[in-house]
Amino acid sequence: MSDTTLPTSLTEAERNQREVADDLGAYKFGWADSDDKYSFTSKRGLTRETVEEISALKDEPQWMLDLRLRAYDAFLRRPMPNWGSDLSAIDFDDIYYFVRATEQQAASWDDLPEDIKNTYDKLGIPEAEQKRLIAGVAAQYESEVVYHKIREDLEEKGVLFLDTDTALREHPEIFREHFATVIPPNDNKFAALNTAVWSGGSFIWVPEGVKVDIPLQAYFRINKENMGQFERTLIIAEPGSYIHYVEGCTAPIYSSDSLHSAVVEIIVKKGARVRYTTIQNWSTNVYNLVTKRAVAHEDATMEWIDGNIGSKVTMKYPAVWLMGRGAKGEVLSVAYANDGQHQDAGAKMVHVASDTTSNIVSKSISKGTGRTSYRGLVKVEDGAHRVRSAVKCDALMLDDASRSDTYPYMEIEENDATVEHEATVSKVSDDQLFYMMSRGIDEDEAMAMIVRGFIEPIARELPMEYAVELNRLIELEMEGAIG
Amino acid sequence: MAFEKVGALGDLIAGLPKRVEVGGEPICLVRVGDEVRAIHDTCSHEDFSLSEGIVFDGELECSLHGSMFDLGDGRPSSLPATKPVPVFACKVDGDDVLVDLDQNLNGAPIPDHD
Amino acid sequence: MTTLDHLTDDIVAGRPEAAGEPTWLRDRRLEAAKRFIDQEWPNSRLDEYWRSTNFKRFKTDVELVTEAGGTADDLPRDGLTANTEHAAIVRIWDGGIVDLRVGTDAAASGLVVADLAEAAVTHEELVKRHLGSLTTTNAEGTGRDEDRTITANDAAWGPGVLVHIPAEVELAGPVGIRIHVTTPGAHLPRVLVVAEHHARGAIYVEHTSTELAAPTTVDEVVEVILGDSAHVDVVSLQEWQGDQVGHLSLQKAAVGDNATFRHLAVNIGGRTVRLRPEADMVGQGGMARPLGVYFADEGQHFDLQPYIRHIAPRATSDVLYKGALQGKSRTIFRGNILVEEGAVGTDTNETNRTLLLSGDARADSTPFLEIFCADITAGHGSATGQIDEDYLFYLAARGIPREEAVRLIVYGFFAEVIDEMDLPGVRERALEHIEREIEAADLDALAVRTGHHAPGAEVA
Repeated sequence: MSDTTLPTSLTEAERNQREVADDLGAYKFGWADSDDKYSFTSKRGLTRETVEEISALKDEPQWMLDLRLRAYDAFLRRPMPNWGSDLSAIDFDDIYYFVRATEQQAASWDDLPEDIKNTYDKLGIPEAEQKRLIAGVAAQYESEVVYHKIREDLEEKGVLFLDTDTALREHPEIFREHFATVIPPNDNKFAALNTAVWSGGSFIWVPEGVKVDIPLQAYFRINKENMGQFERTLIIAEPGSYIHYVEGCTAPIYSSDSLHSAVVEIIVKKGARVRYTTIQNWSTNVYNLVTKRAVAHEDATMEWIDGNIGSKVTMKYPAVWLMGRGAKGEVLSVAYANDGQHQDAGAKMVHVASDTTSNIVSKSISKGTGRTSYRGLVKVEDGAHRVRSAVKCDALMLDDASRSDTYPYMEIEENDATVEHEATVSKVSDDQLFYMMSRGIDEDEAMAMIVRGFIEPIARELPMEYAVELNRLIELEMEGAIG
Repeated sequence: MAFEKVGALGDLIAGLPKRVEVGGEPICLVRVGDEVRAIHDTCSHEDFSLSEGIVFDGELECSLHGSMFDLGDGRPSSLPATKPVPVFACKVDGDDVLVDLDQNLNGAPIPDHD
Repeated sequence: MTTLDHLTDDIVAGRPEAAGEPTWLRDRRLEAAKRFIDQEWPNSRLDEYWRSTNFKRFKTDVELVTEAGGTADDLPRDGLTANTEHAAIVRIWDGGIVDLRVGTDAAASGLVVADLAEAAVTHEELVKRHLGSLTTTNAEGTGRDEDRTITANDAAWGPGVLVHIPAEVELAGPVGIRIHVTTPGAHLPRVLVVAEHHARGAIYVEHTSTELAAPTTVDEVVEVILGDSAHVDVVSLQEWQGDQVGHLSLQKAAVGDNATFRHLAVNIGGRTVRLRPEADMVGQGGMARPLGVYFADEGQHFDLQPYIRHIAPRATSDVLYKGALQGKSRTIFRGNILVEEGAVGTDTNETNRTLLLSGDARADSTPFLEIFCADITAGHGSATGQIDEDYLFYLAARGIPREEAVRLIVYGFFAEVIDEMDLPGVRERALEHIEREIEAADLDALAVRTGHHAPGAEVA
């Protein structure tokens, strides 16, 4: 859940929808706060000194600084990707790589500076926490987590839910054992960048057998123009545990671009299950270039639920490396690209162990000059027997200027694997619209209903309030779809 | 096959990998102090020359996707690679560096390479 | 010695055949030679379409073979081109055409089958207009400058064949072109097929060789131009013997208004085959049906890349490729369907099915769709699986021995594709190959799927 009040009932949600519908479909989260009172802002641009400065400000151990510098070198060495979106407009010299909005992390919303508190109030986060719809909250504002809270009973059970900087200080051993093992510093250019300048993000450790029934939520807000946000999230689910983590993101609308380049590493141990839900609603001047990868051990289950609504460009392919026998991976993804947006999203499933299964469902909608791309990999490695994988990609195009691509890669090195892929691309048919309109439904509403039906297989996997939110966001985007 | 001379210790710079051919197989030599490690020159993730990588703390980083391999046992310590790369017996005799392809120390299969 | 690596303009201009060629052709060859010098051989890390095949599999430091391997009498008359019902037969042996015959009736109907170099003079306008129209950036066709493998053929092709089917002529039998290699080295055959409006015909391109002693690269280009309402079937059989041949082939059609282009690739032989059956849908209401069967065995690597570009409105395309693998082999299906902005009403589909018969084989499948136009219908599907043990068991219970059962299942798997190519000799030929592959199969090592309950479903 990302950005507004969490409705407690469908009727309330529907009421919200009506109100929103009067809103002309403008991006609702585009306000900006003043940055006059920030306690630290790095110089624009990235140098070795910037990396050293970030590490020094956080008073980090030497090994982390070494890793950062190594990643910085890798970032410089690596070329920009020659596939996917056009990233040539990113000016790495124009970005602020580290911005500290407040000196202290707050334990209560009231302790936050007025502006920031107001922002989260507008986004409805404190209210959701108050209503106990979520088991913990992390609120990241610019580079760092400014508010953090976990429900007392979870704390008692030993669940760790911290911002990643604090985790490095307070739990150095478990941190170092897992950090950068799933996504190495030199995995790709943007993972290297993140490793060099990472700040904030969530660290979650769920003890053996502990099942957290209500989601933990993180909320990411970029406020400053030309900001680079590089949070780093590490989730470790011990055997037999369960956690659901939800993140949302927004930013102001500026005339120049910001960069969000996160790295998320997840380790799902034997028999554990992790569900990671993202409702990404960045403003349309944010490049969202994210590396997300999980390792699933024996009989573990990893589920990525990925909604990409905002951003100028998103390149994101949540991955599961199925390393233990019987592990399961799932990616459910919805992408919506409106004018000028390119959602290049997908999934990767790498079957390393036998009897592993994976399932990918991707639904993408392109409107106006929007472009959606599904890019995915299913790989069955030598020695992985009886693997089953199914991929289903559907694309809906709403306008003649829209574009949709499907780039599935299947690499099968074992004889007894069963791997299936299906895809469709279609336009909302005039017949369909006409039929609905003949039943007294106006054209906008008919279109919205069709789109809602299209994404329903994914929306139904979300907790109700998030499903409502996703539908509402898409309806916002749908405003003026006809014509 | 027995130990075969593949180069001179004096030509190897500590931590700087070097590719040599032994019995038709590309092998990556890494000098560690006065010893040398010999690992197959092909990453187990994708067909890529490991000798183009960099060594950090006894681990060799593939420069294509950052997988780290332990020079002792050839095992990956990070994804995206999931399988070990063969490590071969390697000894130094005077200034001669010798590798024995018959002694595959970790028993890892020879990776496919073109 | 002239190798494929060293195609300079001097060499291209100095070829013995060059003397008889018209200036425009010589100029085009020289332009290509210039491009060739500027280009590099494909790099799998930089070129997405070369991602799955390391170019090093193709030897380029091999000498160009420009002489015929012998005379027609020494060339065994077997294979599909032995069929007497052909409208015309061309036999290429290494670097030369050794046999070229056009049936009396076909000739009377106006069919032209000729040495392409000679046709550049005798049918100058036709050849000048269409040759290279699909491989280079030009005013006449939809081609764009291609990578170095195609540039090499543009610069130094030979021997070449022109097939011209005049308007409204329907050929009674196929035109058989046999490309036979017995001398190791680099071979650059070229075929240009022009079917005028309402013409109809089938072209068989048979690729055969002896077991060669040294690496051989066959770098081939086939261009097919279909006029309005024409119907052309191209059957390309890759039947190379031994493990020395690397075969690069672009077989590209421009499909006119309401024209139909069917392509059947039968891939059996060759160490490495990289085949690009392509169609530019330039006419409204055109139809392309690329079909493929492939059976890869120990050491073989097939990279099959059907590519359809929808440019004009309301064309349809439907790609269907089915393959089986055994031994340590690798196949890549790299389908691509591109629907351009104005191609409203496009209806396209792309299907790939793979049957893995051994544990060492690797099958990649990448059925791409790139769509710039909303008002279309597109889909694709891919499935990789194996023979289901339950199904073998079921057949065994009915008294059918295991070997026979496997044969039935594999035949059944391929039948969907092969049955569709209802052309003389083709079905039989493809089945013969499949039969031979199954005979060579190690049934004890056969991979089957157990423990599931959908008999045969994976291979349907």
